[in-house]
Amino acid sequence: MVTMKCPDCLEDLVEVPTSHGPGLDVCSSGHGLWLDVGAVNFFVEDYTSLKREMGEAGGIAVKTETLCPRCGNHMEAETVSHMSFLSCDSCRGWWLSHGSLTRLNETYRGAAVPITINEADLYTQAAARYRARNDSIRNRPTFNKNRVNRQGIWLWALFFGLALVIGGIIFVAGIGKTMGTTRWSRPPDQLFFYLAAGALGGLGLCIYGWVPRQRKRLIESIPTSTIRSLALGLVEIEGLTQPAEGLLSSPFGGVPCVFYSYAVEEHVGSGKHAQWETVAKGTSEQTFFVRDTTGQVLVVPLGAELILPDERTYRNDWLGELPPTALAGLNRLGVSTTHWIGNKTFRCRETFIQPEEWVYVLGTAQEQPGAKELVENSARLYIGSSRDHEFIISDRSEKDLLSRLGWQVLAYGIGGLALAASCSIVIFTYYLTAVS
Amino acid sequence: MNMTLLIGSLLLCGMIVLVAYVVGIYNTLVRLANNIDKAWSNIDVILKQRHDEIPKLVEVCNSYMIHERETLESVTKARTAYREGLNINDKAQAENQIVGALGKLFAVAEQYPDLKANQEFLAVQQRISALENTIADRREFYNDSVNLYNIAIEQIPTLWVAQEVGYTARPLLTVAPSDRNDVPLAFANRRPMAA
Repeated sequence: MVTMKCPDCLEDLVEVPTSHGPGLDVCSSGHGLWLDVGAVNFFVEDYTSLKREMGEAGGIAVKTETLCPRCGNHMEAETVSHMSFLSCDSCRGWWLSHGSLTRLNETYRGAAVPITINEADLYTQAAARYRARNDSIRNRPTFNKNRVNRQGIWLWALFFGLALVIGGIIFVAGIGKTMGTTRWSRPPDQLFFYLAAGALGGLGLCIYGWVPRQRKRLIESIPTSTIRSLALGLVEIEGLTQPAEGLLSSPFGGVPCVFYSYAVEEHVGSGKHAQWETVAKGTSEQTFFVRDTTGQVLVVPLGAELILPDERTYRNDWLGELPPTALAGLNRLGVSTTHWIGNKTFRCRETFIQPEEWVYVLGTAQEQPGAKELVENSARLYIGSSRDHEFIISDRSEKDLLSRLGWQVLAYGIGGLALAASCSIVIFTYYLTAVS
Repeated sequence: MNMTLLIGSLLLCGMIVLVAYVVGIYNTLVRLANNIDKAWSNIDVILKQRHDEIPKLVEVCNSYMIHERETLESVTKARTAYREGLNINDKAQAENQIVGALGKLFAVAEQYPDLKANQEFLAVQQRISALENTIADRREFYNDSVNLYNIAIEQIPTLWVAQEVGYTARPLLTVAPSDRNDVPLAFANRRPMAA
């Protein structure tokens, strides 16, 4: 919470508890004290008369340059029964200079319960608490809030660093010895280069397997939020989709959906040089809602990584034709489907999310521009992409996603390792021989 | 391939994989710990919104509930206790007091038809009630975050890394046994109602 400051000296106000009401925020230098809205009732016996005088003829408000300690707006100087104080029109708190609270208490006496105030004691307590607080800040030993043992980290870093250096030295020595004692048993041919590429590719796969591993750990470490209580920042939600601006149609199948992604590949070349070439790809840009039992929130899918395993494919060959919906989709995309010898061969792929379909979204909750503060939380925010965080949309549950990512890690890691190891063994067995 | 190269390769690759794995575990623990702090801050944000409503509520009730000073004082004192709380446990305890005091205040307000009809009172009451659901959700989210962290630091091999760097278990937000009991209602100048 933001600490309030004295309007006169700008020092922090100190909260002093009272025996018969709320704690008061008091200036430790004795300039005055702050009363929140309604708090004056606890220190003035005849509150009703005070309110009546202020509401009828007693209050004359003049805008001042002094800023409210609580909300920062300009305060108004008011006078009631020859006593002046500053009030804030926004938060309706009062700033009373030194002695004003006592004068108010004495002027408006007379209710059933007598209220005695020792204002001097309040300022004394405030000064003492201010000194005590500053002393404790100066003397507090600095330590990491998570009590991380930095010394332990450095020791382990030293240990692993030494182990890496030793391993590196042995490796380099081994390379040197190998080069001195090994000769080619047969000259390198095309197979050798494939094996070398395989070994390097295997290592690359192992390294690439780090990406799904990190993503899996990220998804595991974030609990799922209810939409009603979304906070700004990286969030994870699950729910049913709903269109925000009307239903879309998938580009090639014409399926009603709230979101789609597509890719068009053309078969080019012939014989050994034939290949599929991507000629068009994209996603829909329309937003959609995700709804759970507590509310709904807008999702802006631009820039999301899509994990939508169910894919529909439409293809033709030079004798046949694509379905009419696929042809219409290609025409809308401006892709020519014929050439001088006949029809082109296409492979059209699309994935989509239908309305009322269960989705998982991991993204950054951000405030919609121009949203009012008091509007319901889920209407004020939207989930979209951010430079600092992942953005994933999937029609699989979190459990399924984690399972898929786990298998990917294993496949990349073990597969890459096996590929690198086997290629290296073949190279050393068939292409190199030790010379005594 | 000679043994030196083989041993060197295995050692180097093994150490690289091990270091990367340990760094990954440490980074995960850091993320889990910071998630807990963020979850608590997000609760704090909503609690502040509710606390800012309390003075308005007290001011409106003041004019009607002239004889219920003790009820009004308990709300403001509980709010003060939260602001003075030094750690999460103190704040959680004070928050429970606020919840109890507000519940009692709203129950007592039922006896004052003029107050119930006051538009400002209704608006404040509605705002506070709407925030209650969000607070409850965020408390569950906080406990989920703590649970993930506590599980991670107790599983092997994360346990060893956590012990070396000094990460320890964090407490969950719980309800004190006294707060599970019904709050007895007593009105000024009236006989206490049966629980």
